[in-house]
Parts: sequence; C-alpha cells; structure tokens
Amino acid sequence: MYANDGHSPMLTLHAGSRVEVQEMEQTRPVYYAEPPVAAGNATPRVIQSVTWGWLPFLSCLAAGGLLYIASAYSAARTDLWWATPVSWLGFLTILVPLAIRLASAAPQRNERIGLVLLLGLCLYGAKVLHSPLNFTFSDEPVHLHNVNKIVANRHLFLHDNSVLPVTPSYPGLASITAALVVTAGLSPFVAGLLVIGAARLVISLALFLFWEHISRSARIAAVASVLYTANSNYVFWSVQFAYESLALPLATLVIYAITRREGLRSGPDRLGFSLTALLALAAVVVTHHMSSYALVGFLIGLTAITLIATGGRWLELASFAMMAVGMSLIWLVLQASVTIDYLSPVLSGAVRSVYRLAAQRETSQRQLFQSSAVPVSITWEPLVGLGSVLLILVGLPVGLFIIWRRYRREPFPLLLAGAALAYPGMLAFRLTSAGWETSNRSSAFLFVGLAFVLALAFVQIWSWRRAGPLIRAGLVGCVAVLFVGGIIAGWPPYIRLPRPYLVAGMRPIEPQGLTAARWAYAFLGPGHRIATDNSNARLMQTYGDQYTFAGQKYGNQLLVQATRIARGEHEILRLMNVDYVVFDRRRVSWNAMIGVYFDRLENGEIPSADLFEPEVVANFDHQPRVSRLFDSGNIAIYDVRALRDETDQ
Amino acid sequence: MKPTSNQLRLRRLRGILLFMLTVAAAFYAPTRTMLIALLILVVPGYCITSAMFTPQALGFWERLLFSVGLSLVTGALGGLVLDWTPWGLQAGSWAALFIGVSLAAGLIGVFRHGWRSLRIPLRVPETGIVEVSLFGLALALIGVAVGIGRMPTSQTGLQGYAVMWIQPTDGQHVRVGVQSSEFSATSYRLAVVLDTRTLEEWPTISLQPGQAWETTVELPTTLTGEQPVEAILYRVAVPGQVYRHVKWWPQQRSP
Repeated sequence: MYANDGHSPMLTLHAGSRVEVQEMEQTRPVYYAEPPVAAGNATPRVIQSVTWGWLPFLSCLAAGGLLYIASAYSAARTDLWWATPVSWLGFLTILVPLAIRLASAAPQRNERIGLVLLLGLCLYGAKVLHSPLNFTFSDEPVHLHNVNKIVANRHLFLHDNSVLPVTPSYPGLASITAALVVTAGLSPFVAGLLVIGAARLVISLALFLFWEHISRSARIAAVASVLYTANSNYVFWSVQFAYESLALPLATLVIYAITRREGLRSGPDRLGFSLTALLALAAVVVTHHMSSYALVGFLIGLTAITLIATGGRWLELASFAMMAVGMSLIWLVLQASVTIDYLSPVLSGAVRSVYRLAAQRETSQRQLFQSSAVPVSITWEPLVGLGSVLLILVGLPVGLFIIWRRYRREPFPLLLAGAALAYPGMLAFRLTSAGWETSNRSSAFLFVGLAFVLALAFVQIWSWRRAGPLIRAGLVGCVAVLFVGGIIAGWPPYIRLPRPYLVAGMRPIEPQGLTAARWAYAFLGPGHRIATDNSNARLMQTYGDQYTFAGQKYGNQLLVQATRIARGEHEILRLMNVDYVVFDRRRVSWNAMIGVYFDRLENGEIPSADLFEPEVVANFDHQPRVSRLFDSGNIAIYDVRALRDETDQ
Repeated sequence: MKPTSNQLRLRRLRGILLFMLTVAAAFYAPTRTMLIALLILVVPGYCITSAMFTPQALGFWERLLFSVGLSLVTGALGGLVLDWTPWGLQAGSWAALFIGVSLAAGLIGVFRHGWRSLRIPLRVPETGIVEVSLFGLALALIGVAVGIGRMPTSQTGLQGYAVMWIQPTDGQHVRVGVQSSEFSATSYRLAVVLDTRTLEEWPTISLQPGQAWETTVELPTTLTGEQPVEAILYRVAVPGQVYRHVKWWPQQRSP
C-alpha cells in the first residue's frame, strides 16, 4: 500500500495520547486508493508490503467455532444436554481470538477489516445454521409472504399482510428479494439469505469505517466493531429476514457517507458522498419505519451538536436532516399511514408502563436480563446479564472522559456519547413487560454510540503502560461477558437453539402447522378469512395464502379459546367475518417464536399441562353445522360460515 | 512500476477464473444463478460509485461498501420505479433496470474519469502455500458445519402424525383423504358414518411416510342435513382408539 498524500482527514494526526501515535504508525499507509502522482513528482512513495497477517489462521479458528455451533444445534434438535455449553463454546471460539488480535496494535488496517468482516459474517453464519432449510423466526414468514405476493402480483402494493399490516407499506426488503427471485431464479429463502448477508457486510464495513474516520484509529474502530456484537439483537434478531435487518445497515451507510462528506471542503467527491447519502436515505425511508425515524433523530442531533458545541457548518447538516424529515413524513402520509396505528400502542405502552413502575403501580414487572418471550430456568444467565450491564456502567464514564479529553469539539463523537448515555436510561424499560421490547429493539441503534465509547476505554486500558497479560486477559473476559450477556438479554434459551426438523425415508416431515397451511391452500383455496393462534396465523398466511387473524385484536383470542359459543363469540364471528377457525390444542401455538415446531413428548404424549382444557379443545366440535374439515392430531380446521351466517340473520 | 511475479500469476489466474466462470455460466444453471445474484448485489452499486467519485477518492474497502450498499439501494428503490411502469416487477423489467443503471452509470464514470474509474483498487497480499492451505481448511470446516446443520433430527422423543380431511365435491359426494407423516409405514382403518350407519369402510389402508390416500364417497339421496357425515380413522395397531376424526354437515357450501 502507498502512503497517503496527507490531505485526507484520516492522516491528520490528532494531538493525543501515546496510544494514538502508536496506532497511526501501525495502520498509517492505507486509507485511500493510490494517489495520483504527477510526472516528475519527487515525493517518494512509501511502499509497505501487504500481508494477510493472522487472517488465514483466525479464519480457521472461526470456522472451527461454526463447527462447534453446528454440532451444538444438531445436538439441540435431538435434545442432548451438551447442546447449550457447546454452542457457547462455539460463539466464544469465534469471538475471543478475533477480539485479542483486533485489540493488539500489531495488525495492518487491511487485516483488521478482514477480521471485522470475518466476525460479522461468521456470526451471521451461526444464524443461518440455526435455520438452514427455511425461515423459522417469528417475523420471517411475515416478510416471506410479502415477497411471494410481490412475485405473484408483479406490483408492490396490491396485497395485504394480515399478521403485520404495516409491512407491505415498507417494501424495500421485499423488493430486492423479489428481484433476486425473478431474475436469478433463486428460492425466496436463498434470496433472503443473500440479501441479509449483503446487509451484514454493509453494516460491518460501514460502522468500522465510520468509527475509524471519527477516531482516526483503525484499532479503536476494530474494537468498537467487536463490542457492537454485544448488542442484544446482533446475533439473531438483526439478521432475521425482516425489514430492519436491511434498513439499519443502509442507515449506517447514510451516516458514513455524511461523515466522509463532512471531511471534505469541496469538489466532486463531496457531491458524490451527498448523493450516496440521499439515495441510501430514501432506501431507508421505504424499508423500515423505526430505522428512518432513528436516522432522522441522528441527523437532527448531529445538526444541533454541530451548531451548539462546535459552531461548525451546521446549515448543510440541517438540510440533510430536513430532507430526512420530509421524506419520512411524505412516505408516512402518502403510503404508510398505518404506521401510526402500529407504533403508537407499542411506544405509548412502554412509556406508560415505565411511568407506572416509577409510581409503583406497575404490576407486570419482569425478571431482568432475560427475554420476555419464554420463562427461563438457567440460573447463571441472569448473573451474566447483570455482569454485562455493570461492565457497561463501569466502562461508560472512562470512555466519556476520553471523549471529553480528545473529541469535545467534534460533533460525531459527541453525538455518539449522547447515544451511549441514553443506553442506561433505556434499561429502565426492561423492568416492565410492555417496555422490554422497546428497550431491546433500541439496543441495535444505541450500541453504535455505546460500542465506540467503550472501545475508547478498552484501548486506553489495554495500552496502559502497566497493563500486563492479566489485565489484558481480564479485558478480553469482559468482552466475552458483554457478548454472552447481550445474547441472554435479547433471545431466550428455548429459541436460541434450533428446534427439530425430521426426515422419514427420503422425505422431509413438516410440522403440523405447515401441513395444515398447505392443505388449506390446496383444498380451500386462497383468500379465506381465518381466526387462529399466532403461530398458525403466520403459516396460514405465508404458505396457505389466507387472510388470518391472530392475537387479541377484534376478540380473536376470546373466540378461538372459548369454551362455548355465546352471544359474545357470535359478535366476534360477525365482526371478523370469519370463514374458518384453525384451532391448535397446544398452548405454545400462541407463541409465534416457538409454536410451529415438533413437540418433545413425555411417555409418548404431549404433557397435559401444555394443552388447552378439554372443553376448549372440543368447543367447535359440539357446535351444530360447524364442519371439522381437517384433523392432524394437534390442529383442526373448522368451517364456521354457517355459524357466522346464523349470526347475521 | 513493473508488476511482480506474484501479480503476474494473479492476473493469469484471474483470466483463467473468468474464462471458467463464463463457460460454467453458459452450461451450468446454478453457476449462472449465483453469477446473476452477484451481478445484482454488486455491479449496479459499483458502476454508480464509478460515476459519482473520482478514482482516487475511495479505497478498496470503501469501494466495496458503496458497491454493495448502493446495489441494495438500487434494488429497494428500483422496485418503486418499476411499480409505476405498466410492466411491473417481472424478470425482464428488473433485468432492464439493473443493466440500464449499470451501463448508464458505468458510461458516465468512463466519460468523467476514463477507464480508470472502473478499476478495482485492490492489492492482493502475498499468498503462499500456508495461506492457501489455511483458507482451504477454513472453507472445508464451514462445509462440514453446513453439512452437520442440514442433517435431519433423530426421531427419539418425537412423534410422527397423520392428517385426515373431508371435503364436499357436490351435494351427493364427499372426498375423504389421509396423508401419513409417520416415521414408518403405518396401517389404518377408515370408516365413513352417517348417524349410526356406516356408509363405507376400509379395513386396511397402508401408507408409507409421505404417502397420501384419497377416495370419493357417495352419500345417500335421503340426506336431511340434520346429521353430519363423519369419517373416523383408527390405527390398525391401536384398534379401539379414534386416531383422527373429521365431519361435514350436508347442505353446507363448498369452499
């Protein structure tokens, strides 16, 4: 690589600590492409040999970690006890060696970026290995339905999504996936994996380059990249086939393009970065609501800090912020007004819940550092979760102090410090059931700041003159605790490991819900209105092409779980105008995360405590003129049109 | 600067690879598919980057970021553009969009900055036998991991199932079907009854896993609609226990 020509912001050495100078010596000649050299230019070009460094060896280790994870998942499908510890071993085999190498001052910049990408893509590989044959996370069938309908309709907005009505209004993810399906002939599953994999590459690179640009250190950026994996959604949620998994990486692309633009005074490249930012901003707006609103918040915050703290060129940033506000508002009003109905109950519920908690009136307090989806019995997990929060609270002041010392006149680091400070505040939401999801979902955004602040503290301590092997080992241990704590806080153990899928002879055996959905499509035809539970609603919509009701809305749950059909149930039938009821006798079917799988049996039967009471199970069987058209053992499909029409009369 | 022997080897290798890929794409569908996917996820963004930036503005990693990022942006926003056209989002219109954007942006890049704008600013590190072996080993390990991940689950502690259905074809006939998703071949007994009268009975229906069986049953002409037609399935191995049960009320509409 060639030495930089010196006018790039990257090579403006900051008056700073020994750490930074040492860092620049290691990573100096690499940032931009080869500069043009005028004829007769006497300036010598420094040529540094480019090597792979430890990348090949660490690739092997990371692949070994994936092998552990695959073995653990395989064991989990067979319900073997060692699945959980081996899965943790696999994750740490990927993380720890990479963290150690990235924390040291030795690697060249190229090696660092290679390792950061290796880390991001290997952790994505862990999610792919979790569900290697089909999309199984709760939101994935919802978005798969959108892709299927776009491919079938050849238009973006001609279909409904009864499970998540807001999703067709944000077609960015479905659009690019459908493009791969129709042009390359890929299945929607493989196309989705490719799109999300590309998005993971984008977010890994964009965040690294962003942090590197504002810290002027590839090492700090690399450590921040490692710490970012500790956000509670990084390993599973942020790489599921859902709109946020594409929008957040595009949002980081916007941020990086604006950051690079701010480093240039003028010229064609400044325009190039502006256009890149605007195009990516538009893509974020049409892909995901919360990501676009978070980006609006980021840009407004950046403008305000630039104006107040640094007195820099805030007017152009303000114009970006205004454009972001304008695009989001236009999209909201013209295309996605349903977003308000979708988001307002979630956000207001979270705020109300925290307010009630503060007033000591909240009754739905939850156990900390566990996902709210399923109860957990693993005792050490809350301790690690608590430990990770304590480490964040300890590291935060150190990182903030460094920001104050080195970057207090620079808007980007100050903004990231603000995001990092907001993180402990959002933890309060985790104390309540209603606020848990809001807090959990915000971590992917706030960790952009938090990881940077913690990375400053980490590198400072690592480079401390007295820091021996013990202290450094302790630091790596802290990273491991943060990472494990993040997974614990965001994803319950019951779904961290995959569920069984089966083959008899050469044929796959699908879960009953999937068979029921395919049967409904083939025998009932598409487009019927079906009342059911949360799991079967997703399957019936995606694989059965039905219009489904799930959850409590319109009294759906009251109807499906009724013990008798009285006036209230008649009213609900009429209100929803339901053709069929799909009833699953397993209680777990109301949990969209785990309700679609095979069940483990005790003495050849599903434990009776896991089933609904007999009077609930038999309710529709006792109704005259209600045909029971399908029976798979757990699932029955009832034709309730006669009952509904009686109600009408 | 004179290229090193390693660079020359690399150029030759790149040429051979390109040739092999072209041949494979022409004759082997999966290679073609993967190439098209790569073209969608990288090329449009690469060409847009060439048009928007001077060649020396971006290093390799930035170029990679903007190429993939702007390709995703093209796919996300391109859908909106195609949605407004009469052709909508079909293979031809998508291909026209991606090729059109790539060609137009590439030409702008060449017009503004010359052919250099399309060059990939990459210097591959010196690669010896150790590096190749280690990367090969990593790929092999990932292959084994994927293989393990796709292995089916042991059936211990799990239970197969069978599904049964009933469907009216008209007022006088119903279709009754059974599909086995058991783990091994299973025999069933099926009875179709109206009130207390058995209309038809099949003492043994043997099904392999995944196999389905269906029949049409003729109903009596004296149906009143006061009683449902019921189909009851038993496993031959457990004769006294109803395994599946479906019913249809006459005079009800078909789907």
